[in-house]
Amino acid sequence: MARTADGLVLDQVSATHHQRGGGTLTAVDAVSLTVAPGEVVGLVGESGCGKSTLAKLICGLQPGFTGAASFNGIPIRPLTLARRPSELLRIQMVFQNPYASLNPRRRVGAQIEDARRINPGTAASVVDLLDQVELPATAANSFPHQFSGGQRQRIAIARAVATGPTLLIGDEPIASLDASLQSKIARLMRELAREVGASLLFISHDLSVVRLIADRVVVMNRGRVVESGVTEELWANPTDACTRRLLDSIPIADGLGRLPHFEG
Amino acid sequence: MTGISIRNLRLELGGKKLLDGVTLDAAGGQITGLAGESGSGKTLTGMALLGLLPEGSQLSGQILYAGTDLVTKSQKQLNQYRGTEIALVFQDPAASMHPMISIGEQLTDHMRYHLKLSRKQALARAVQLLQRVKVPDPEQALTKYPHQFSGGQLQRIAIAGAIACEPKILIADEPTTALDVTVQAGIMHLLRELCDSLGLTIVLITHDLGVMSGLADNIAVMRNGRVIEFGSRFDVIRNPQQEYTRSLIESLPNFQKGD
Repeated sequence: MARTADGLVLDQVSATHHQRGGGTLTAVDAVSLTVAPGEVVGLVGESGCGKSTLAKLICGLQPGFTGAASFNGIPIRPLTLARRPSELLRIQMVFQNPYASLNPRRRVGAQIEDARRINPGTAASVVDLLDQVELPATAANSFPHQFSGGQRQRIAIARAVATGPTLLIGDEPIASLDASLQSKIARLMRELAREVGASLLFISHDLSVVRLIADRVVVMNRGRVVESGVTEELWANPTDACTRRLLDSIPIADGLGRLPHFEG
Repeated sequence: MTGISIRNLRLELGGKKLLDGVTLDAAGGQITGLAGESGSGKTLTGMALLGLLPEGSQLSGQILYAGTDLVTKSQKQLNQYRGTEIALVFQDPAASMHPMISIGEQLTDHMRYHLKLSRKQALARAVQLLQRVKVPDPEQALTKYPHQFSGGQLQRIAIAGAIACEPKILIADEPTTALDVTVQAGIMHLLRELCDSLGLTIVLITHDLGVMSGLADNIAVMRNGRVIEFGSRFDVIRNPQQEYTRSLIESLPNFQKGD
């Protein structure tokens, strides 16, 4: 297949989980989605809507799926023992829980160094990378447990950026952080993605944060894409009931004691 | 309706001041919010109300509840308050419940001890409680295990367990932080409803000022082990006196200047 620069293209992709005691659950149900080069796409939905399964699938971490998935024309296949095509190594994920995604027994500098190896020659130095995520150069000699949750997430982002990513995927990267840090880290991810020329697929259940950084928003419900559009339009005129529910649930700090809308 | 008052509460561990003179009134039948970033001491303050403190730490000051000072009580004496007078709901319901004991067992164990109920009575009450917190199909739910529920349902079950022995005070430590926004809205409604109908005094610990604004009647903002600002929900959020409080509010994603 010829190399193209059409970014991430998912065409009618489905993935099922086998449930214990038989039966299957269709987590991702015929999803078509594109993320153009340099584009920032927000993927939102309630828990269980399939957004994380979709993220794993793009990284090759979802064993077995149907439909066509490609990145710049290179087909994405589930990870096997063989090395992935080097282009696909530059699809990098930032996970929800930085306590679990960093190796607790290796120094921060060494972990970022590993990621730099994917991108020999052109990768920024460890010190520069730490500087980009606003951490001091001395952080390289420390271990993950010596940092707070927000700092650890910055390290995880620096590690992802070290590879010279073409596509960054954040799977709820801000959900475990303080509210006061959430928009800051989200904005940092957007800036870094733009700087290195990567696309960003930002997954969250919180539309209020996604609104700040995404060019386009895709809403999922029960494995399907129910709505997508330019961020401000979708924010102002949501057409799907699921999108409206997500918007209405956002608690607003107006000091008025208004509870967000809830059905049931 | 009984409230709880904290006076000049200090907690030291290995020469480090974790709480540095916390003074706070949680008025009876109201929701008092403890806001602040991680490490500000809000969870420690909540835990101190139950005497659940890090090993080797020294607590001083007063916690005044129903005419007594809880700081002077021994761990054994505090057991008379835990669950029956002051109860606790944690952030992560999946971690706060035993994964291998059925919901029925976990919901009735403390009722049988505290309320001296028979097994049958306790199970009947557990069904009522689950109805109260709107868990669908309560009888069936009692036979299930924690992993068979979603995070939101499990938090409802944890709240049912916390109110089982009719406590006067409920400490809710980040009760919605692990949940997504739509489920969070449901738990917020439940907490407000319990506060209003049972006259429950709730101490709500959360870093999310959006949640705080929707639920809390009064808000205390904590930083470095101290309450730096305390006032009504409206005053603290609309007209913060401290620069720090203002910065917390302005960092919220849906903050709009001049709003």
